[in-house]
Amino acid sequence: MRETQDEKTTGFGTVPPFWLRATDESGAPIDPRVREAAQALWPWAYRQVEALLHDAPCAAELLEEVAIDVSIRLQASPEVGANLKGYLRTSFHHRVRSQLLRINRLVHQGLVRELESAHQMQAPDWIRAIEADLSVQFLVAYLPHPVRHMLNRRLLGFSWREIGGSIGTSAKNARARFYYGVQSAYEALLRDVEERRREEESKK
Amino acid sequence: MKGQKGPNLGRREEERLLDLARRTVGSEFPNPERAECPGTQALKALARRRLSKLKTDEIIDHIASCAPCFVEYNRYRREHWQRTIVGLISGCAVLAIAIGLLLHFSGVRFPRQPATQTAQARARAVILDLRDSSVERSGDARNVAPPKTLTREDLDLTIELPIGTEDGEYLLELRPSGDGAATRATGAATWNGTAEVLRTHLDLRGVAAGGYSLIIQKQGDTSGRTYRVIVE
Repeated sequence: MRETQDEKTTGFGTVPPFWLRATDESGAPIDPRVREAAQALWPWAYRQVEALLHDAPCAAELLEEVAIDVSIRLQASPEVGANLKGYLRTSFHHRVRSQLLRINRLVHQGLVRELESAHQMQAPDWIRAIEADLSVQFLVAYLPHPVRHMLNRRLLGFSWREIGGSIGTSAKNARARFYYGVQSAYEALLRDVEERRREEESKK
Repeated sequence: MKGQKGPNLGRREEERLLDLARRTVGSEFPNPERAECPGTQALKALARRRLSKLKTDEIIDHIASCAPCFVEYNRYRREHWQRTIVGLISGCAVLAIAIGLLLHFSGVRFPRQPATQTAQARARAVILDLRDSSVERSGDARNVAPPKTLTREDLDLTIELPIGTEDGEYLLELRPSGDGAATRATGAATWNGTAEVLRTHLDLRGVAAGGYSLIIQKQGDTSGRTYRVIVE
């Protein structure tokens, strides 16, 4: 595996050292477990920002924002700590995609076009309508972590029965939760796109 | 877009979503440093579904957001499936052989079903050459050649008839010399290039051994030829 890693590193720049402040803006300390997880995920986060936003220097800032949010969430919902890195990954991915929607006008316009065309379709045709990669990439990034974890399991070939078993419910219930989660994410994505459009219009 | 009700996600739509999501893993998460990668052993263990629940969640989230791990995992998963399928097929084959051997050496015999019996107890193919046989015409008994012999079996009979016999449908009757019922059959005679042959089916399993007259008469004719035969 080491050989593979070295080969893959070729062509990429060096990842800068990790740095994260100790407290958030209100002075509350960032949970040390979150700090540790963020440090471990730093190269992964950096490469993702580099690939999607083409703005590697902002990676540390984004990871810091996400770490603060996750730390607050961890205090409120200790169960998040059971799979902290997974939660952090999902949150960071969502943050990067939101940032992309905010800063990249072309991406925003493309997404608006795709979602508008999806809007013309009847409900059962909805997924067919967003077959364009862009919409799906955003939709996946907008999934809340439990739903994203289900999607990840499905991507890795787990059956609904296995997924249901892992969360202590039936296959049917697990699937229903997933469907509901995807629908909610879709609606959240629409809200963000709409908000972004209003911002654009107010600037004109 | 306001008021959009969202998807009614069915299984087909879910498959589409998964297909598209798989494609995005490679482009979204390059991870050339292999940061936090769980390693080959863990990927293989997960592909075989042999990881503890505690570790599984974290590793799954990693693989689904790490292009190199995703590719590697899918390779192990495919290999695992292939091995499983080959194993199943081999297992079935070994089981079938083992059962066969067990039955063979244990001497178990299954009672045959009537249908099987019929199929297995096929009629025996027999050729009866009457080309040079003596012919008994009514009131004119001549014993030139010894009578032909038939066995008391279910027979698929091919009778080679004397030269000059015409093609057509024939009636056959095996009549006992003494008392007893006659056995009848029909068949078609045709020229096969060397002889006129009549094919018929005659079940002699129920008849008594002894001397018989075999009468072969063309349908529509009033008289036929009679041959002496012995049933053993």
